[in-house]
Amino acid sequence: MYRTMNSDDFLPTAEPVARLIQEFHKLPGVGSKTAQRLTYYLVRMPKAESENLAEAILAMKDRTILCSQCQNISEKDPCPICLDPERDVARICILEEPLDVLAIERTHAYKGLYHVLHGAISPINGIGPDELRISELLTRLKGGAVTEVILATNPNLEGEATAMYLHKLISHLVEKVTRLAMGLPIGGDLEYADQITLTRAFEGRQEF
Amino acid sequence: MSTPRLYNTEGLVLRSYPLGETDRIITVFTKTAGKLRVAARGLRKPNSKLAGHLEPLTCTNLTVSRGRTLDVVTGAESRESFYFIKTDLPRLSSAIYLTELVDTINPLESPNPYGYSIYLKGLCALEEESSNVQLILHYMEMHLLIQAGYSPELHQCTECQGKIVEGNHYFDPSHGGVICKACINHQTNFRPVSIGALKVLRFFAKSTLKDSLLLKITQPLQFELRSLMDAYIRYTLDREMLSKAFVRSVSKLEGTVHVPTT
Repeated sequence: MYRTMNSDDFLPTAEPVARLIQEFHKLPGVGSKTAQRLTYYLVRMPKAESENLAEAILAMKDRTILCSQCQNISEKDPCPICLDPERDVARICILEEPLDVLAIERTHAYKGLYHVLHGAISPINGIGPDELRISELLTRLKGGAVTEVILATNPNLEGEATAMYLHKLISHLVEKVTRLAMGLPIGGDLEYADQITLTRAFEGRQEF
Repeated sequence: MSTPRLYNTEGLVLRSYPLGETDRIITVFTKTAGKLRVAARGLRKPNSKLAGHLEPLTCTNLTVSRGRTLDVVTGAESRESFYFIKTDLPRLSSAIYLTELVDTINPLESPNPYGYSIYLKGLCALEEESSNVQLILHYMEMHLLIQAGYSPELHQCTECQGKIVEGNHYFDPSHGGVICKACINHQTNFRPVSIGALKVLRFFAKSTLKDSLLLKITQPLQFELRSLMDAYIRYTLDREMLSKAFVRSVSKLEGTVHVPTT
């Protein structure tokens, strides 16, 4: 028997299996049942496939770094986006997470550079400006080549707090600080929209 | 008679955590049932009908369905979104701090209608453009502590019960209030307190928020009150409020009000 997540939770299974269950359980969104299911799926998986998975995890840890300019996850420093001569170096879009870069890149609507903060200010959880990649952003802006900073943090309390804080901090360093438009989502329903979304939608209305 | 499967309540959303792929767990301070933890499905999808109504710092009418482990929000309509607070950094940082204080002081599922009404009044006062943020914070801190049973003693020495007279008063968080010179224990973290600060704290303790906001307080007195309340809250709740650091960062950035660190 092997002791797992809780002191009163014994799994009558082999130690390596219980250990893997514990490791899966640490991942976000993975509960104890999901961790057990994933582990037993891997137990039944051919050894070559398991080795591929293990190798992929190790390669991801060994061969990825943060781009020293945009702080995005990359294989090379600077990353391909920062090196791309087609990109508009006068614009920087500020994002919370590396996944947000993928979301914006999928739109093909933006051709500037990025800066990834790796989180958002969440004072109630003890995450303040010092925990984010803000000093790297200030260094980039002090270079003087940037004319517009686009604040594209999430439209929630943490994202808004981060955007307002950054605006105060950088407004004297760049000509223009902009915020992504907010309003009604495609497929949304006006009657269910909250007051702030509707207010912002009216403020940001455009000529038809 | 069986308990109804659905119930309606009014509440102020305190915080939320991601749950699974698109859900969230919401901590909401309700008017009738106290602080509750409920699940909200699909809240992280862009076209979620509930997301905007369940953002932290929103007063909302909730319809909740009883669940096995967590109750689930099935309907929400915001009553007040506190738009001005959410677009003004100093007010937002202060509101987040008050929210953390409310969350820390109130245990789960313990009805506290008075605490709810104080918190709501505080947020409404912060929403008013001309209101003094520092005064609101001091008043709210005092009344949130009083309703939780941590009222500081401000009239007589907490050691000898003697009347506090001018020029002979100190404040000691570990004693729960003021202390006279003769009773000072040099092992504890006592500090001198001015007669002005003592009078303001006494006034806050017995007055309404509306009356308290009429006070005119000098900046040195504000620093003193800030320092006293911080020390008292830290000792009483046995922890530093995490959002306090952000309030200080914002004050520094604004360059308006200096918030002391001790």
